[in-house]
Amino acid sequence: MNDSKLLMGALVCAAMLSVAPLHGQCLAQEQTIKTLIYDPGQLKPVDSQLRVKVGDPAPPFSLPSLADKTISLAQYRGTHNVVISFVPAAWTPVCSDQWPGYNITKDIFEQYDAVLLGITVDNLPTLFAWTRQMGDLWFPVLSDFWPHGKVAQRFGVLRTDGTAERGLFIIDKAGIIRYISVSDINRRPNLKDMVEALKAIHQPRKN
Amino acid sequence: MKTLCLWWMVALVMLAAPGMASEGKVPATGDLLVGMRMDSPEDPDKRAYLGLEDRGNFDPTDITGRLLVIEIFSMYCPHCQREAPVVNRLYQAIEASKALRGQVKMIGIGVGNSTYEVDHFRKHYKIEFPLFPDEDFVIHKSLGEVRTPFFIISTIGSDNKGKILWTGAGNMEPLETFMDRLNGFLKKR
Repeated sequence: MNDSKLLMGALVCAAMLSVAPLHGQCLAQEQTIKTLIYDPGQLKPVDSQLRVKVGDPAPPFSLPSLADKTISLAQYRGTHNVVISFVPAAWTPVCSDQWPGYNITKDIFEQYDAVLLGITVDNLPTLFAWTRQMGDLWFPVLSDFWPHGKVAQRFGVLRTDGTAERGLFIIDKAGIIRYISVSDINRRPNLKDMVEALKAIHQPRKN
Repeated sequence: MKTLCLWWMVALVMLAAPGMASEGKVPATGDLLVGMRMDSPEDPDKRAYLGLEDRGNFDPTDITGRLLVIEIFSMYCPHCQREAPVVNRLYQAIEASKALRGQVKMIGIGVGNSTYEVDHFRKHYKIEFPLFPDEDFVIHKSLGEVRTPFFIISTIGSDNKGKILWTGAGNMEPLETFMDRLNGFLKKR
């Protein structure tokens, strides 16, 4: 190895190690929940390949939910736009405050005839205990636990470690995917981008 | 020898890194407010409330009055959501008090929140005091990445500018306790 390669290697190594403390800013902010959050450290931002694209019909699915027995994507056909929020896993940083944030945006979803479906690959008991910490969520929370991550895999957001990406999909009333955002797993996605996308596809119901 | 020099460079970068990642410590009584520069509000009523004459950057110590209450919050923090109505009542009580109105000002800083997110939080909870975004966690880092909600009472005005008199984390105390504390600080000064 020549000197320049050694220098580059050493600096890259130092830079990577020095970034490690920064993930602290992404940790959930809440007082009590913070002590229960498992911090996996800085993760590979995206670790899967999308299997759908904007313009495709959304893959149909039915999943068990915390509140109802099952929720099917098809039940919203013709009446609602559907925002699917995949988050990596219960009890992890960022996810533990992303949904509480959405919990005060019900009015925005209603404004655009939209429902929000929160999905993780955890089982229902885990999702129950985790979401109890968030207050009463107004949107359904679905478990893509078994067959493990099957729905996440259909969308192409199942990571190689069996967790899901931090992904947002907007499916219009005709069942067509209109917006996809698979963002850095270590950061919370920008709310405004999703709202702008909802606004762009919104066609008010004809009374 | 060259290899040794390289590892010294690695060590220096490593030593410098924590300073860059987190510049401040959690504020405590007696500290001075630092690293909290913000954009002046667009709303002229909010600028008038804070006593800021024009747009552009300002420092909390530029705000007119004698005491400043700062709430560090996040739209995404359930505790901050639950506390929002309580914090609103504090603002209303200050504004309704002959002794405190004009003397005690309030601001909120939304850590990791965009302008859009802070605005949504404001509208959702009908918050009347000015809120500011800290989207890239710059202020949050200068405050030692405090957990939210976090409250600071500091001096403003001509003497003892920006001196922190009290800090509190988590749930707000009963309104009367907080009001008594503000009245007490005003009498002492």
